[in-house]
Amino acid sequence: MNSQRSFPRTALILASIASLFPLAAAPIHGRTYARQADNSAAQLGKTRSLAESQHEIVILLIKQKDFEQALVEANKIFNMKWPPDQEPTLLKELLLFADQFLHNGQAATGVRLLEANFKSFKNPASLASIWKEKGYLYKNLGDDKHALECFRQAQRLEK
Amino acid sequence: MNCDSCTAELSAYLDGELNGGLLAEVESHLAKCTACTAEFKSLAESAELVESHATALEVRPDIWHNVHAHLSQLPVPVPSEGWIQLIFGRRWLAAAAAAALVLTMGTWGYYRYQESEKALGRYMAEYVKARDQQEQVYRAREGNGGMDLSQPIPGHPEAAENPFVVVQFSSDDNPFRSEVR
Repeated sequence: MNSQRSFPRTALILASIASLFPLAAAPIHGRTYARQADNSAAQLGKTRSLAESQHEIVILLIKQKDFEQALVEANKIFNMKWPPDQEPTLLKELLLFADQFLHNGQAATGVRLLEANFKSFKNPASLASIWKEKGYLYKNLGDDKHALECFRQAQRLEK
Repeated sequence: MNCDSCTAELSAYLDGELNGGLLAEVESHLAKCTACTAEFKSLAESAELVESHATALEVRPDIWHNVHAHLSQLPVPVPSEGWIQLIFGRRWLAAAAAAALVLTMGTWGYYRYQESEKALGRYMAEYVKARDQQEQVYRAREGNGGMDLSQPIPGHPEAAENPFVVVQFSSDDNPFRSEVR
């Protein structure tokens, strides 16, 4: 009877020890990885913040019709250090700027933007999107020969 | 063995070319058939006669000349040819085959090229059409007081927002659909 009463107390003590164990024996390298992950997340946050501001600068420059400077500032975004998983965001940004140049009658500047930053992309789907947009810009410029060639490249990537 | 088959083998028997069962059959037939034996003797005598005078016979040059002239007048027999010899043995035929091959390959290549160009044209037209529609929407908005950068253009969501804007969480709403820009 006495031993039956003492059982829950023993279990409680053991559970308390077990709950302390993971903290006491947490591997050092695990904490290092966690710290590295925090660092890279912080770094990405910083880069995104810079890119966000840079984006607004580019949009303002386009509104002011300073297209050459807008191109220079836009290129800075793609030259930042980006992890591979940010490629979709970068693609959106690139296509957005190309679109903005097109709306302002600067399709040729849009082509230069796409050509300059083509190297920042590795995913075939992203590359195909860029080729298609470049083809569209060439078509707007009346250069059907180059447009066709761009779409040929895109089609090859999408096969 | 009968007389016909025996006389057919007499020449070979005389030259010593028979052996085995056939030799025994011929000898057995000759032993009991006087007609075949007479035929054999006649053949043997003829052979002996030719053999005895063979060294003495000399062919006259005019005979050789006549034979040669006669042979040269005969038509040259055409050897039977396989299809490969037929094609490669005659230059014009080889050239025609090569031309036909080039023509076929060229036609096939041209057909394939035309098909791929058509597919490329459709691919390009689809994208251009979609983008033109987006541009029309943009122009219409621009005509109605300019572009609203806070609102995405339908079908072209990337065209009107800063993709780097940090997502904020609202505290007074469902946390699973609380993303606001």
